[in-house]
Amino acid sequence: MTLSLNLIRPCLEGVIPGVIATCDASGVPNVSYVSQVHYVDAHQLALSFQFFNKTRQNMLQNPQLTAYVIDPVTTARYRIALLYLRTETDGPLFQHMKAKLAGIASHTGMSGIFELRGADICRVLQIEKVPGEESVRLPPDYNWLSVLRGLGERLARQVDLASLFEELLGGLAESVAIRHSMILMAEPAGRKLYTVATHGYAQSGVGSEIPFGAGVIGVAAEYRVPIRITHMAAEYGYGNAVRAGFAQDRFLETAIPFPGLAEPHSQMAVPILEGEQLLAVLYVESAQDLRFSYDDEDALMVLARQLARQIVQLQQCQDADTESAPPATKPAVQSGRRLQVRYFPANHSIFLDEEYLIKGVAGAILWRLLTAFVQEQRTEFSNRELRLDKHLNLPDIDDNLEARLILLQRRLAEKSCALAVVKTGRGRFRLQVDRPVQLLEQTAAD
Amino acid sequence: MEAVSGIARLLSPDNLAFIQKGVSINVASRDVRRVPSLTRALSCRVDADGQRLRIALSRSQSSDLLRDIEKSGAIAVVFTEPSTHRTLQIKGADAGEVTADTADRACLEHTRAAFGAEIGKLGFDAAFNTRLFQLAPDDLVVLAFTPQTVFQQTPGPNAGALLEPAP
Repeated sequence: MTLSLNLIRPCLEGVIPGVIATCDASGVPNVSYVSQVHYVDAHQLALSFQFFNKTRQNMLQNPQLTAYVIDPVTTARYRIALLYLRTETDGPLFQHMKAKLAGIASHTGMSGIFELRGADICRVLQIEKVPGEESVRLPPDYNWLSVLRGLGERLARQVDLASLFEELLGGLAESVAIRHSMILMAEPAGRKLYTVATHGYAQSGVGSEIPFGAGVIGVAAEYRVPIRITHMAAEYGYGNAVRAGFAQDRFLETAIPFPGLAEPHSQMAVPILEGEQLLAVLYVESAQDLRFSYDDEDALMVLARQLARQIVQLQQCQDADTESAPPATKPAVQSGRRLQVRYFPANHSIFLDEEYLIKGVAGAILWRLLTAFVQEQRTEFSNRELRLDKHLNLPDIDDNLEARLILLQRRLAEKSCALAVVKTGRGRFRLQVDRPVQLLEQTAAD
Repeated sequence: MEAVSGIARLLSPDNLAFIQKGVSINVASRDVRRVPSLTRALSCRVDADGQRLRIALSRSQSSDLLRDIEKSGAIAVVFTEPSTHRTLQIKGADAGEVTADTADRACLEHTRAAFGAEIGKLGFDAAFNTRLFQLAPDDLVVLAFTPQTVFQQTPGPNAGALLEPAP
């Protein structure tokens, strides 16, 4: 059996630059370094095209290339016979390589010099192991296959979105020590994502938003491709400079801070796709360099596929059957100081006693619930009625209602001890109001 | 002023010191069908006559390259300092095997230590370097060639520039 590219991926992380030999038409060889020799699939790899140089001229004339790569841990060396096929200058593969190169550049002091112009895609014709001393690779601390099986079974048992997300993020921390993670739901109409579940942060950051295209999460969403960075790259993080750019979008949630690490050295965002449709993004990060490997990326993509199917299933059966409706209860007696709820219809933002809670779809839902509570003393609600509610005529509410409710539930739990949304069964929930409320609708003229 | 001759016309004292100081070295050639061959070399020194460069490498790791060199003499050697990305490429057309001498072996020893210190700065331990340079005594082969062209290849705006010979 010939050596597979799958087995030499540790050589393809950009830790040691690859070496590429080419030859021009007159027979003069050329040898140069390339920052990235990137794994595409078992039969193809892509070289980072950063400069118009002799290597480039030669490969356009004569597509036969030879690459030499070294495993940065074991010193294993491989020689790869390649045939140059084509260059991509945008798209998922290009964006993935561009992000990874930004990390490599920043780590090696070459930011601003290493810039990706294209991804030179090559067919792997042969991989030859170069004889030489090498060390034994230590086995990883966990076995991804058994983790996937165990975690997959745990996820399959979950009956609502909130516990599905919790189980996944908790499971990643417990079984593979991925301690900082989050799930962001896509809102394609607004070209943004909103955080619905997080793990490992002092502030949950649920409700914070990331526009498509911004940082690893936004690029993963925009191009529906996993983005993995092995070293810190400011332009792909969510530091002040990147966040300052968000402020221009008045529909974007900027009041809730993004919970991510201030200086992640490793970042990975994988799209959660149902077919071609983006549902959400799973994001993980670490303060360590080179924390996530090609194998980790594969494993998270497998989990993301399962997650997508379950999200769709749970959304389809989120409506309650009428029989399971709990008896209508009289609202409990409210006591204590009056809670002032201020609502701005322009962006559906809600302030509780002048403190910001939430805006957008989740804000509109809460206002609707509170209005029903005040006018009709109702506390029991169903997903179905919200979905059919003409007052909540908001984009894509159908698809994401359950996720919006999770968001609302979490924000209330973090910000208010007077209001809560409590699940009472499949597709049903209760608005719990512990203090008297005063509703103030603020129109633009006020 | 004394006329500069041989290698010194092509390579400044600074560049000559650079390629012999313990940097990463890779060598390419090609076969009759223009398919490139490539291997990692170990050390480099200037021949006693000041005309040729002598590149040491492992025979067992370089069979295609040695076959191609024997047939074509075409050679391209790239030198890079991992910690700074400083890079130089030197090409020639008359490469061939020469007998390794004690100076080549001494140069290899010196380079092994110097390169170990260089990559140590980047976090590679001594054992990694030892494995890179591990070589059975009868596995050493030395290629000698006359440099014809030299290119500055440090990443940046001047990458790829041909360095003109001194007058």
